Amino acid sequence: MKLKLLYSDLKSDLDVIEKELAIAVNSSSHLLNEASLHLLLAGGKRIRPVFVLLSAKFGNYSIESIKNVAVPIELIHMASLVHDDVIDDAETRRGRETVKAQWNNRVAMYTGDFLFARAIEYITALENTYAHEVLSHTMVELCIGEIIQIEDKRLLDQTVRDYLRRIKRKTAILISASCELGAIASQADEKTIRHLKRFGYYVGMSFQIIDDILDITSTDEQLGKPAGSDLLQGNITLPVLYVKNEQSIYPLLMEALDGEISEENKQKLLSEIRKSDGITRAKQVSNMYLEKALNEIKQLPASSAKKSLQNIALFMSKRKF
Amino acid sequence: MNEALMTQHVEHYKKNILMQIQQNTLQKYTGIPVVDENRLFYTLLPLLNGEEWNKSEKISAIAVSLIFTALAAHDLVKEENASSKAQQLQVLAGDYYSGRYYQLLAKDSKIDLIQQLSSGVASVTEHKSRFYDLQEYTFEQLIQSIQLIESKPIEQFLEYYSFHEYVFIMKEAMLLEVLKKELASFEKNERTFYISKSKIFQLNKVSLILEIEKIENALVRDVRSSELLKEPLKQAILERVSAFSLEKQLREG
Repeated sequence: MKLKLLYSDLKSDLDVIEKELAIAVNSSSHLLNEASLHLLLAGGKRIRPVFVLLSAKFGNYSIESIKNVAVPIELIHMASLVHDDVIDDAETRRGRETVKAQWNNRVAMYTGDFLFARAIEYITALENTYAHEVLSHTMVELCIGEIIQIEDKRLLDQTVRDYLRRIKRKTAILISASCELGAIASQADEKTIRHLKRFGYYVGMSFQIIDDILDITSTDEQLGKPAGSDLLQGNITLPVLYVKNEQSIYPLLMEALDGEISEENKQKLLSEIRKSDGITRAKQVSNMYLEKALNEIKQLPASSAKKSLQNIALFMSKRKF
Repeated sequence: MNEALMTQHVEHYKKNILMQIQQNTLQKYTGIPVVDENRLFYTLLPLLNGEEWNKSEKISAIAVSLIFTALAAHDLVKEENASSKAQQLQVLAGDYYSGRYYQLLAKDSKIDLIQQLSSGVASVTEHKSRFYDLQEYTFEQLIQSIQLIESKPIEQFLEYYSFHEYVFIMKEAMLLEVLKKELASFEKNERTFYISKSKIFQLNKVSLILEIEKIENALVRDVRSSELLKEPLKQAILERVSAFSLEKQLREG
């Protein structure tokens, strides 16, 4: 089953979001227009706006007001990806050339800055100070997460706790904010907002662990980028943390972290990690977060939105690529 | 307010701005964030002229300065090959400072100012990208772009707090300073932010010098004849303008 089928009843509202995204990135600068459209056309699952919309269903839902949250959340995600591609020196994303590859780093910086600015401008339609505190805190934490990721690069001497703290900031917090802000914008009650916020956090954690597993277990074609690229970038993820000291893995891992690994040894390293129990153990942690997410959502009244959130959480945590 | 007190205010704000964005890893790899004291001076013009200035103005002035610090951080990202640790963190530094400006204003419930400033930042990036665009812009359009890039968020801040009368002086002073610095560096064969990317400026250096002289004359005349500015502030502005005299810049670079 495809992820999009799980929220097919949101299709018309997601079309509104897609149109609004195109309007939001419209620029008087020919260059920024081109770069932003390049990003929009690359598509994506739009999973964060989906979380915003579904969470908003627990309050007074109106697409006209909720789009003011869904659009900026996606813009922030897009902007951070453009800047990430500069950081990672990435040539492709989702099988397409990155902005930095098609133009240069500076244009990518301007594009990201433009999208961040548009996102903030857009969400000011929501006159709720707390919502802005949530989003601004999220943006700051996202950066801190990335800063820590760079600090921790190639550092084998790190704990599972370090990893979890890092992915919380890197991924979980934006999904958590998507759910929380959707609920806030539709004026859901405080208890519901709290459950949705926590749900988003747990789903985000589970999702990122799976993403890190897939970096090792998927093929280049499935990922739209070379398999193992996170590892080659020096990012030590959960499956690797569990098995880093194994005899068959350690020497190859050191080669990879030194940036001097041959293609043959890279494939060997990936194969050894795949064979190890690192993948299974990481999946167990992901499942634990999934359980916690489902427990949060259980507390909410029955509705089709609840069902969709449950299904999406299950899908994201069980996906194969 | 005498000159020593004005300097104290600028220094106090600078310290406060740096405190807001203190982050050990960033500082270790990217150095102390860029806080342009001259820009800060012009942001604080109403305060330095003795206008009523409360906590909200203070927070917003700091937030506006953080915007420029964020943009300056991103201007330091190399066009090609930014894969060193310092460069990677330079990217994140800009995003972090930018998030902090938003956070600061959100905590102060300044949603309408956030709206204006974010629209301003979008506009600044649009105008910055003109220098990379294949589309051709006229000399006048590029000068306007530079002025907007250098001063738009300050203009919005001053307008927001109804300090309209300070806008013209601030905008002209910011433009003047950057053009003089750019020209002086360019003459010394150093890489500059605007001129190096613009054939129009390179081919019309005489027009650029005339433009600088025109802005300087107008600014000096306006400051001298201003009924709004108090005498010590007038002197401080005129000293800054002469300290950045084109002749001096060209001589010293």
